[in-house]
Amino acid sequence: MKIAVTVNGTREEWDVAPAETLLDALRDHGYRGAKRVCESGECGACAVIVDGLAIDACIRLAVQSDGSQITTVEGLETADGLHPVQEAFTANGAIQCGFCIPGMVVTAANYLEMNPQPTEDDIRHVFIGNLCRCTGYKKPVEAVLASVSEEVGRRED
Amino acid sequence: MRNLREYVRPATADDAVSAKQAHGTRAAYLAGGSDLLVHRPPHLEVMIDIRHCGLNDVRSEDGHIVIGGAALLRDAEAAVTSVAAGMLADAFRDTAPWLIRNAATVSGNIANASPAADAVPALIALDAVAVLAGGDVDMAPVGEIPAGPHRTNLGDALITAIRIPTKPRRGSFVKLARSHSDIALVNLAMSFVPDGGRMRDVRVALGAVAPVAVRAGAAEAVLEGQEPTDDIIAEAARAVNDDIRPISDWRASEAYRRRMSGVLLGRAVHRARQRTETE
Repeated sequence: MKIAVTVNGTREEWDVAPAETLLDALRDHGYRGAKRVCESGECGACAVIVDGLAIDACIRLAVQSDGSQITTVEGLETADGLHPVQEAFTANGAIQCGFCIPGMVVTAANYLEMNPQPTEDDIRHVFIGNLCRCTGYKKPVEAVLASVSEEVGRRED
Repeated sequence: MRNLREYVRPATADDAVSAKQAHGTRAAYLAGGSDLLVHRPPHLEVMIDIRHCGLNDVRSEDGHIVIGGAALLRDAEAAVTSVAAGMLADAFRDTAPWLIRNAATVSGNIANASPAADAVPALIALDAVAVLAGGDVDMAPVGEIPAGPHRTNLGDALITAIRIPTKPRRGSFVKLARSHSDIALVNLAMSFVPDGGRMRDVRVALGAVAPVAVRAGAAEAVLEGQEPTDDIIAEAARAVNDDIRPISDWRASEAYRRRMSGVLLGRAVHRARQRTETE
């Protein structure tokens, strides 16, 4: 089936099988930031933003995304540099093996658009759907909080 | 889903129902996919995407909140914060993690017919009614839709909306699980109309303690018209044992589910009472 999607600002036309997931379609076409792990919507490693909302791409059919705007972790960076959440994850040592990080970063970046001043508790609730087997969650949560305070600082400049 | 060969995207609920009726059990309505694309039933040949049928909104209408049949849990949660002192919003939030609430629907939580569904007891305890298209009836109480574990009475019918009366009630939703949005070992929703210090028109419903979510008539009878004293709560917690038929599985034993049902009933009444007092 032919579908048209816009990924990170680039229009793509793909031929996909009816049962193919959005995750598989993205990875087959070079967008490998979203990771294939649980394939059951448990772990969040495949999180991408579809039409403004972060979702698990492993439980979305590719054909369901026909006509959609998609942002993957590769698309968070702008001409000004890395996304503040990416900067903060790096600066705060929130990355160990890194496999779950694209999903965490996409999830946090999307959540902050809706709640720009989250509490630690808010972030921990959001990360319930993002599983990490190395560092745990302390550093990633600290990183998201730091990204918010950095954004506030930047606005004051 | 190895036999999946067709994806259709109807523009109206009627077209969705026509497609379902044409293919019967070989087709399924699809929205968030958080159950269907996890279980991936091998017999499915046709997926009917109901997210483009104009069913995505949540609105207020003549004394009801009307949750569209394809409305996301996230949108429904935001729209029901004032219903029964936040009881329904709590249930929607605890249903799944944030990433899933961005995709999954309230109707899907009902139609998936998990005995442990969190939204279902909460909706039952608020007398919620499902509006149906293509069924034998046009409306059905939410509690009558599940027929057993992952079986429903829907046939080819589509849930086009869920109507929740907004009459002033108090209530609470409590859940026992490994984490907030994990699958419930037991969940319980209760609501009542406050009358001075007394509880009137009491509703108690539980999930994960029977093949489908159940109204707890025996516990309701104990609480009805009473003030929520410690003695009354203890008596209701004993009575709820007559309302449930739990099984033992790898999540919890029957005996544990029975004891926890009484504990959750006490917690729910305490929480509802605290919320009433602080308002």
